[in-house]
Amino acid sequence: MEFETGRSPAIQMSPRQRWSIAFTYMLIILGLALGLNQRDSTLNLASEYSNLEAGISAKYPARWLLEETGAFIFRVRDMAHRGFNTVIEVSAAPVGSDTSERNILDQLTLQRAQVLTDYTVLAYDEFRLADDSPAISMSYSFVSRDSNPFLEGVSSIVYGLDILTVRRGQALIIAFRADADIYHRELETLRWFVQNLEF
Amino acid sequence: MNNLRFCVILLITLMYVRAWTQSPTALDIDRIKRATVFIYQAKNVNNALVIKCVSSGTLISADGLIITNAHSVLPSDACDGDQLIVSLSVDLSEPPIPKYRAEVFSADDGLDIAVLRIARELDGRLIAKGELPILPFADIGNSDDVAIDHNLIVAGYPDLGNQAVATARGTVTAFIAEPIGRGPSWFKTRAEIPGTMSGGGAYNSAGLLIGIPTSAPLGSLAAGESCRYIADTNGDGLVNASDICVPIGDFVSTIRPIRHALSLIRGARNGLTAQLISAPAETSPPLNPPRVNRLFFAPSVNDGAPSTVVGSMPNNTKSLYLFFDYDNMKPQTVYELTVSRDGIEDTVFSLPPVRWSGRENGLWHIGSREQAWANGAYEFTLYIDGANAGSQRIVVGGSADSRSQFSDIVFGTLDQNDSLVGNGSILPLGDIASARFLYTNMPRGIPWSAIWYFGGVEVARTADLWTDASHGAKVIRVAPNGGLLPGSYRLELYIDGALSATSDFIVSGRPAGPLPEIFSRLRHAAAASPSAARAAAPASSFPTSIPAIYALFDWHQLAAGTPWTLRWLVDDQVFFETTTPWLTVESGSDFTLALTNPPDGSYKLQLLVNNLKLIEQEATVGIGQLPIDRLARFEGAILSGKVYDATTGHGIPSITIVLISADYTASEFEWREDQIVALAKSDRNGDFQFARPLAFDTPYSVAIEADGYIPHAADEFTFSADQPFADIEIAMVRG
Repeated sequence: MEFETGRSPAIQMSPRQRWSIAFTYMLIILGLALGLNQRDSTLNLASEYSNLEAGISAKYPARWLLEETGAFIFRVRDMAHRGFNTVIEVSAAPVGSDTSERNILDQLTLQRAQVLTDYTVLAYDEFRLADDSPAISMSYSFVSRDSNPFLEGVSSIVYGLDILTVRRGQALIIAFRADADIYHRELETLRWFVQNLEF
Repeated sequence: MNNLRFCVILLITLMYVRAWTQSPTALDIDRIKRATVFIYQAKNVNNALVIKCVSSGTLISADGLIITNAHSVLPSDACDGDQLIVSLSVDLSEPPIPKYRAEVFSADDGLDIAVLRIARELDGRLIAKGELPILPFADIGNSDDVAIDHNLIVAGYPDLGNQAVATARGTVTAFIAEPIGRGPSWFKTRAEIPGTMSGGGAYNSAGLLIGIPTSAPLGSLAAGESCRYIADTNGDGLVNASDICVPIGDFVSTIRPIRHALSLIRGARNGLTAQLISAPAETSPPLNPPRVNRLFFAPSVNDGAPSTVVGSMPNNTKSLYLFFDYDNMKPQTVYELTVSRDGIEDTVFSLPPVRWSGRENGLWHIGSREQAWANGAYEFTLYIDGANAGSQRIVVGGSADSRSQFSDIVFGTLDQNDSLVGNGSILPLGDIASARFLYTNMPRGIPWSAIWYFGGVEVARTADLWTDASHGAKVIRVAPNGGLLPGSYRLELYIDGALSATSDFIVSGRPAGPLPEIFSRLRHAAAASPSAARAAAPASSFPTSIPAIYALFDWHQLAAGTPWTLRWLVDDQVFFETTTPWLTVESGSDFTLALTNPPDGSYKLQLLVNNLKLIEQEATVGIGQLPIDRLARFEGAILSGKVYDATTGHGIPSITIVLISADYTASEFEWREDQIVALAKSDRNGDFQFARPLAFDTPYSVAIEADGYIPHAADEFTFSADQPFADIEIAMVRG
């Protein structure tokens, strides 16, 4: 018995079918691209803040909580982070003719040591702002704990970085604080914030 | 299948609200207990805190104001601590846990009331303004509405911090009156109140704070019922009688009505502190031992003076007061009155040991009205610092007698028509003082006499046989050699050698018609310092956020030792009141007072002598009205709950839960502060609690965004008035 071997005859697709398949692939790719783009847009979306009275405008990550009531011009907090909520706080302080930048930072240190647990200054450094103007930075750490006395609050080690510059007779302080675990990652957010800060 | 399950979980969002519907009374007790704190007064000895005194207290504001007894928190011989530790009932079924440190904001030693403010974390760190979580607190009620037989709930800690917060129920059995302002000075109760509950709260049946259970332990303590040895304070490895004994006091049966604390509370809530800049430094306390004398009874009181003097009272007596003179008393002096009827102690009208709330010397009374005194032979015995200081007897019963009597003495000067004019108890400097009194059942020929005293020394005496009618009013006068000098005077009227009426008056001030002008040129000023204020132009309105306003006045012929009262009001409510002896020169100008950091409001300053308002001046700061405190009353639902992982069922720590204002839905929420009512963060078990109460019948929304979980939102949370506590369980879906 003889067997015939060979390929079965090819199924012939019509040009219309070919185009349909091609369009389907293209739609999938387009959908994926749009989805990725939407995701990136959502993740990188920025909100804008401006305060004419203080002469400040800034961009900050979307879906961070904006607050303007307190001893600061404004601050934004990442409420989605579990643990200490990353915060960027912008405040101003009066400066006298004899006041140095270190005087202001030391004053901050004295105040914070009264209210923050285990507040420790880690280092002082130079910092370049977006316009390449010089500023001074102070890094520090402390322990934060939810203060509700009726709950079993969890403590977090927090790293902070103050960026201080003196302009037009007043000191502008950008205070950045984040959970120690994500501090270095969140520094990118701070840099982006500083790049977009106008004052 | 897994995806389908997640979708279902996501769609229904698994938000489950469980509201506890309880009867109002049960809810009130929980709320009362949450607001009750335990206070340690401790001293730092060799870097260790040694407990000196303990007391209960009550949170009266969301920002950490506490009201308690002064005797256990102010430094004294018995309680010489320098730190105040505040413990809260985190779990109402467990003993309290130390959480904070407090400081005394204001206090009245004699009234035995102190208002504390939570100022530091337990480790000593300052609590920045606005950083203290909103704490549960008790609403203040009106103690003037309390009547005999009204129900009381007393809250406090029944031991030295070993037991959970407790309540005791009882009724008001009597009112005790003393000359310390309007209304009863004390409520009496038979509720079983341990000594450590002193300083806690007494509530009416609506759960409103109407008093402070108060009992003062004696300064000298012996081990036993009234103190406990709880720690090795001398480091000898033993806890015994060589260590410091913590006083706990005896059972409490007296409650200080909250009315007497209102000015302290108001001042503390608004951060108002008044300073008497020109007042000389406080004089040293009296060296001689305290004493009382001239004990007598009166059926009623007229402006602090006895209407008449009685030796017996008829059937159906409902008002009786014991009067006595006192000397060398201090606010730390503990006094006690025991009343016995036919040899058996009458606990209703007795006053257990309490702090002295009067001045160093003067005329005092203690008694009650509108309460039935059973017939019998009563003996009133006064104890000062635990020692018998004097006693007096009176018989109640029998028919109303028709004995001769003088009563209702008032003082003044005579006008051209020989009519007595003046304010009744203060006369200006002059030559003659007149007194008018009523007389009844006076037979002709009965001997009577009048004795006038100045500064405790007799200056005039008249003795005669009665020649007037049997009933009427009579005016007598005195003209001392050298005229009336500034100071305190007294008139005693006797019938047939027995004291029948007595009253005191003050001579002070320059004549301004029949009335004295003691104070003048009362004015307000803004300045950088007190000395600058004296030169500053008077003003009646000041800008918002002014650091201080000063008040100044001149004074005329006010003798040293004369009691005067300074009363300061904001928006017509007293926030500062003090009555002290005048300690500076008789006449002068620019006596200076200061009010630091006054908030916007309408301020009125009043100066009084003998409870008579002699002058007042008003000034406004900012808009002339106090800012509205949205958290002034504790009304609404407490929302708590748990956030857990929908897959594992375990609580998720450190998640922030956002409660959105009723003006927005969750989809309209744009992460702006003004859209948020409150934030809460879950603890290590996933439990959370919004500290501030949420308004009833108001639709709230909740939003949660957490790294690693699908965002979560829900609208239309409302709580009705019968749901003061609500529990939410929120399942978070990983994504």
